[in-house]
Formats: sequence, structure tokens, C-alpha cells
Amino acid sequence: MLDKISKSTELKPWRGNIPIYHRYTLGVAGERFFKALRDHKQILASACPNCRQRFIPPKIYCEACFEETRDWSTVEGPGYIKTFTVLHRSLEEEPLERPVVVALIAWSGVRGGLLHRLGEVDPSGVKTGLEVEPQWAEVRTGSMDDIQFFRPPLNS
Amino acid sequence: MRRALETPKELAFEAAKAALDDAGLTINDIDSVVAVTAPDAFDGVHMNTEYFADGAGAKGKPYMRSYVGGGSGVFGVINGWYHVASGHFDTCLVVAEEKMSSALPHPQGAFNAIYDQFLERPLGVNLLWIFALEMNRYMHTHQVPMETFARVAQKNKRNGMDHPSSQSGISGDFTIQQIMDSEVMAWPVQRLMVSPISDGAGAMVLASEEFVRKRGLSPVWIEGVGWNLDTSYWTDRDLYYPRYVEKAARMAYDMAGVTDPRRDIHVVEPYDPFAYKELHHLEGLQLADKGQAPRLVEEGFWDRDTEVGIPSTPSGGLMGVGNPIAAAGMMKVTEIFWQLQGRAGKRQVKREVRRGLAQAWGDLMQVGTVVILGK
Ligand SMILES: [Zn+2]
Repeated sequence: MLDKISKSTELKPWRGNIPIYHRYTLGVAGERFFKALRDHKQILASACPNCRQRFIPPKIYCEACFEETRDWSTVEGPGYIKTFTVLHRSLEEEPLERPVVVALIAWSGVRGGLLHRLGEVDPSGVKTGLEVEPQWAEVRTGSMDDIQFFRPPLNS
Repeated sequence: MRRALETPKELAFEAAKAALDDAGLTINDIDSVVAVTAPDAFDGVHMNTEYFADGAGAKGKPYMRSYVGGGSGVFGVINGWYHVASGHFDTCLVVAEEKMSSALPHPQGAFNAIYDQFLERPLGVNLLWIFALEMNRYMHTHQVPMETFARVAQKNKRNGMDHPSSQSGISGDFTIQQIMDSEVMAWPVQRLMVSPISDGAGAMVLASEEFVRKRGLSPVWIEGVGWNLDTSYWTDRDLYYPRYVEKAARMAYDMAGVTDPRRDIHVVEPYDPFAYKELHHLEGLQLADKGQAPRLVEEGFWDRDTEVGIPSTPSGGLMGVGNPIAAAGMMKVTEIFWQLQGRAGKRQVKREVRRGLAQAWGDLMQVGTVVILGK
């Protein structure tokens, strides 16, 4: 029992996977959110009728009050960087050609936020609290890539 | 797939909110949350119950997932019961969810991977194969004609016409001939004798006696719970008889003080993903002798309007309402709840009911889970 076989490649395998893939539906809130991105270049929030809290991404319910959300609105103005990281390796641990900055972007007065890439910034210049806006993609399909990346406002 | 749009979170919220509203409670009355699904591969979200826990009202609360595959819908209620019965919590919200329409090309792909990697998976095995083999063994042992299974499917599909959550196209007034003529999928399993692919959620609020009294609620009581696991090797099981269901049932009967189930159980919701499974499970539950459940079908013993028998699957079950796996088990418990409260509407059974039983089946198809409810 204590013999150690360290090279699994020398053992006879049967290769397999779970033969399944998925088609995820966006859901009630997701349909509205992604349609607004695609058709109107708008980021939608939903709000709880009870505690008035607004949510990004929007949900059909407030998880605190357990009430259905009713009021939907577009977020105004730029968001800000709540936290960020600089990636140097891919998911498979391959070195990246150039570092990628990803950030949690939040809007004041709104709970939650969006995870996205930052663009048109020098990674060494990114700071928590920095204001950012979406760079909209020319061709939008109703996905997170409808925003190419977030970047500092052009007029600042 | 009436609910194909909603995400798992949204399905969970709708069910959890409906259960709270029905009980006249809010999320602030809930001390703990239990969430259940069958394998994550269906929804395609790893750690699915953790993912939708916010929709199940679990934010800021002690939360637990319990899991026995397809048996989880009933097992979630058992897990919720010991949250409360332990004295640790006054209330527990139990939420069951499943979204199977996401899984392509077919959810059976996930079932392929529950079988042995070397001996069985290379053959492309799935649940339909295995349960066609089991059904054949049951038919052979007791010499059951196909018409009998068609009658079970007909009963459940008719009953399902009166269920508000029935999936479109599933329930209906089918003739025996229509059912007998439906496509053979894996002989002897035919299209109209097997449950569909479904999306759904179900929820239930459990509370302590003290909480119920304090709040002046009109409850149904959990009188017994039981669960049991057979061998993991399907090849080594009896096949013609679900021993694991018998053991789970006997555990629940002992706890509930039920000494004669055929006298003391007045309505039953056995797990019915296949028509033969309803009969198989009724025998495991000791509600009929081995091989006798099919004979009783002919007498109308299991019909909703029986006056001398035990109405079985008045909800319509998995064949008449749909089979969002864990949510389907929960749907069976909620049906017994409504039957005992006299609130099942058109589905209300004719005979007087004071005690009912819901059962589910799952894991590697060797687990039985049983809950007995009483007035
Ligand atoms: Zn709220």
C-alpha cells in the first residue's frame, strides 16, 4: 500500500469527461440588463421598494428585505474603482503578453458593482477610487463584452 | 418548460417568497435556511445552492446544503426538520431548485457520469438504460402487463391537469392507447411513461411547536422522517424491489408510531419519474405487497377519488407536473401539506385524510427519502 507511483502517465487510463455543455438563460433581470447595454449603452440598476437600496447588477429581489424590486433606473455619472489587481499569468499559468488590469467598479449609492478590464491606463497609475467610464463596443450583442473596458473619463 | 427564462436564483426566490407569504411570515422570521438540488451539472453552476442561496433568503443566516441527488427534495425537509427539532432554531426555510433545460445536448449526459468509468460509461450508459433494465426485471418478476404502467401514467397526467405549476404539454387526458403507442425510448420505457426535462423550484417553512403557538399558525406536523442507502453497485441491487425505500419507510413509520401503514397512511406521493417507479416505490413503502401494486391499479385503489384505497400522486407527480428533480421531491411534500390542510382545490382527494407520506429517490438511484406529515 505504501509503494508510491508518481508517474500517472505510465498507468493505463480511460479518458473521459462529463458529456454535457450549457446554455444559460439570462433570467428576468438579466434580460433587461443586457438589452439596455446592447440597445441603449446604459447600465441598469434595480431598487428595493422597502429599503430603497439600488443594486448593480440588477436583481428581481432585495436579498435583505426579500421583496421584489420594482424601480429600475440607469446609473448616472462615472463609476469608481473599489479594488483592482494586475494579472501577469493566464488561467493556464502562461505568461501574458502584457499585464491586464481588472477592477471592481462601483457607483456611489448603489450596492454591488461590475467586474471588468481597465483600458487606456498605465497599470502603475491605477489607484483605488479612480473614476472610470465604460468604453462601449461598436458591435454590441448583449454581453459583458458590449463594454470593451472601463477607462478614466475622456474629459478629465 | 414554463420557467425556462428564470435563473436558478430567480426560481428559488419565487418559491421561497411564495412559501413565506403563504405562512404569513417574512424573511426576518426565518432563523436558518436549507437549500437542495440534484447534481450541479444540470444547472451548470458549480456549487449551485451556494450560488442561489441569496434567492433562497440565506443572506446573513445559518445556511446548509444537503444532498442526496434526486432524493434531495424530500431530504431537504428532513434536514430542515432536524434544524428545528434539535432545538437550535425556531424556524427553517427549505428551498429546492433545479434548472435542467440549461444542460445540453441532454441532461442524461450528466447521468452518464454517475456510472462506473471503466465498466459502464464507455458503453454510453444513461438512466433510461438502467431503469429500462430495472423495469424489465420488475415486469418479469411479477408478470405485469404494459397496460398497467400506461394506467399509472394516465392517472398522473390527468391529476397534473389541476396543478397550477404543471409544465405545458405534460399533463392531459391521454388514452391508454395513446400512451401505449408513444415512442419507445429504451424498451420497455416509453415517452409517455417517463417524466420530462423541467425547470422549477419549491419551498417550505418549518417551525417549532412553540413558534407555531406564539404566532397562531395552523400547521401540518412532521410526524416521521426516514432515509436509507442501498449498495452503490446497481448490479448488486434487487432491482425488482427497492429495499432502500422499505428501510427508509420503516424508519419513518417507527418514528411516527405507524404500525399499519395501509390503515394509517391516507394519501401518498411516491416518486414517479417512470410509471413503473410509482408501483415499485408503493411496494417499498409497504402500501402493497410485493407484486400487488399493479393489481391494485386495476381496482382504482390509487386513484384520487378512491373511497377505500390510498390515493397516490394526487398532485400529478413528475409525469403530470414535471420533474425539476429536487424541486419535484419538494413538490411532493407540499402536495401532502395541501391535502392535509384541505387546500388542494380540484386535486383534493375524496377520502378523509389525517396523515400522508411523501417519498423521493435518488443519489446513484439507491437512496430512499421519506417524510410523514400529519394533522
Ligand atoms: Zn430591501
